[in-house]
Amino acid sequence: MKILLISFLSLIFSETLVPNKKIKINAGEPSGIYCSNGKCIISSDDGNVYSFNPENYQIENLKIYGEDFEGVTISGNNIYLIEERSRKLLKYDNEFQLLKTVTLPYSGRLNRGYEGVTHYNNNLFVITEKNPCLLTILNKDLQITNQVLLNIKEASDIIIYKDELLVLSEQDHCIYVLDITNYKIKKKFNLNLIGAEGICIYKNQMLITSDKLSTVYFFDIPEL
Amino acid sequence: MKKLFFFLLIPNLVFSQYTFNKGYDNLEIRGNITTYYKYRWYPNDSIETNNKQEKNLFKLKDARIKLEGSVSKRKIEYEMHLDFAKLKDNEQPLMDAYVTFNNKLETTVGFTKLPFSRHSKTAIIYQPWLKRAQIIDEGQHRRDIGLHLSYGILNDKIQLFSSIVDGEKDLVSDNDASGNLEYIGRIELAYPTKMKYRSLDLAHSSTPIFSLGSSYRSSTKSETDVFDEIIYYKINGTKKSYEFDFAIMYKGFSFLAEAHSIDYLWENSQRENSNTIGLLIEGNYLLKRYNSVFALRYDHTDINGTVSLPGIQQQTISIGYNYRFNEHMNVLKIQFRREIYDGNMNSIGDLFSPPLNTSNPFKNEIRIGLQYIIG
Repeated sequence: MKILLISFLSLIFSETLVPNKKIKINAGEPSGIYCSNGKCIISSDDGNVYSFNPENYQIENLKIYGEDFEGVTISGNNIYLIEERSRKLLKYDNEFQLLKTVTLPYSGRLNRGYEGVTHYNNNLFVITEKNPCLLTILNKDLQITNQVLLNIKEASDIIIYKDELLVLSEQDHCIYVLDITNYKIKKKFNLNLIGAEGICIYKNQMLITSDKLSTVYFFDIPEL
Repeated sequence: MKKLFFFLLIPNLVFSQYTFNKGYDNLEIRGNITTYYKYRWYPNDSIETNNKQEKNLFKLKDARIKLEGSVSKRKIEYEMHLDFAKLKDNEQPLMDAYVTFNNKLETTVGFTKLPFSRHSKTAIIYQPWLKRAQIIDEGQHRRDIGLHLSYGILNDKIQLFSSIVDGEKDLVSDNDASGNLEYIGRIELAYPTKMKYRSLDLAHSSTPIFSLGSSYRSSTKSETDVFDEIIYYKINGTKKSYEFDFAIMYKGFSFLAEAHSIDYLWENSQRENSNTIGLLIEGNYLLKRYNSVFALRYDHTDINGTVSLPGIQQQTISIGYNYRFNEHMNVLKIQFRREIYDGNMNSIGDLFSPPLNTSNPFKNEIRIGLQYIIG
């Protein structure tokens, strides 16, 4: 009862996060972002993939062409990209050689398809945008092991941080924090951004991309 | 047997197929059904008052199906859109039928909406209304067949549109003996980001988004019937239209203002050149917490005025309320309209059937409708 009350109050009085820095980038419509080892991979809704340096903000087009890359994550030596309209999850090695493509069936509207991908404990998590927000969990062989309908209205990206599921929502202007064991909303952080499409944590910063403004925003990592 | 039926049926209901994928060829099926009830309070001397066919009844507004898809990683996109509700009025049911070649310059060939006016470009399912403003609904045809080009600069913050169309008679009934083309151009500026063609700020934009647009269209036709519409569609001569629109969205509020002017330059020297002016101002608020939309619109039309004869003045005030059942845009729409006339009749006033009693120049109507989206 106490936990429920705290959760309810934290949803009502949710904190608004303010970026400490923003960088305009030349990356079409940047959507997914994942950073590791001094560089970020940014996937773009226009089907391009970019390498972005979070220290000096240099950006390079990696000449990988898809239909509409909405999400990206790196797990071990593999890079995963998700496409919204074609429902394809693509697995690359760290040189961007395509290793495997799987199609994840989803019969919702073409522009309401997969928006984000992340990894956790050798599993991949992908999420659809809305109507419904469907969380699909895949094992390391990219086989579907579970699907969960989340009780949120819209999702634009997903990450798992400190064993919590963080769902970025462009239209609700917030980050939902979900309990990874039961997928219930525990907390919410408000955002005052247009077009928040991608989220990742790197070092002591949280990075969020805006596709409409072609911008990367840097935030202090909030207390979950 | 019942159990078997249940198990066969349920998966199909839950995972109904609205999209199909074949490699990078994608196809989507959508549609909408909109039915409304309208109730009218008209003056006693209005022609429509005793016409029970048009009074206090249920109407099927939309029965639409849309096939929309893309091939080759969206290098080519296409759409075919039909509205079977139009058949009841003996109108052709085609709404859109086009193919777009996506490059920096987007090239569309086929039948689709013309780039003229933000209100016109915004689909009715994205509006809080059941009936559009008069200058849009009755001013000019909104779709045509031909070549349509669009070009975006700075992430589409600047957009340029142009169309060359011919008014093919079976589709838009606006062709004539001359076979001349119509030319349309539009420029749209938006800041800080492109503004979609939506009447509501569904995203509750945390930063104000502005859009400024201007359109122009021109056609020279000959030998057509003048008296087929309230606002002239077809004239024997040159028709030039100018349009300006301004829109803003911020934290659930949306505002749109549009001004239209149509010049009729008649070839027939017995007729005076004439002009129709239209103005619409609209403000909406989406109260997300209660899934509710509150809407207010004022539109004013000065129809077919000449130097020697004033135009027919009509003002309409609309008040709207929407309840959004879900994120599928399944919406209960309520629209109250009051049409106000100045009672200033001219020689073509009988086309328009305004009330003759100048002391009571109002027509009131309420429409209550349900918009259901398929897909």
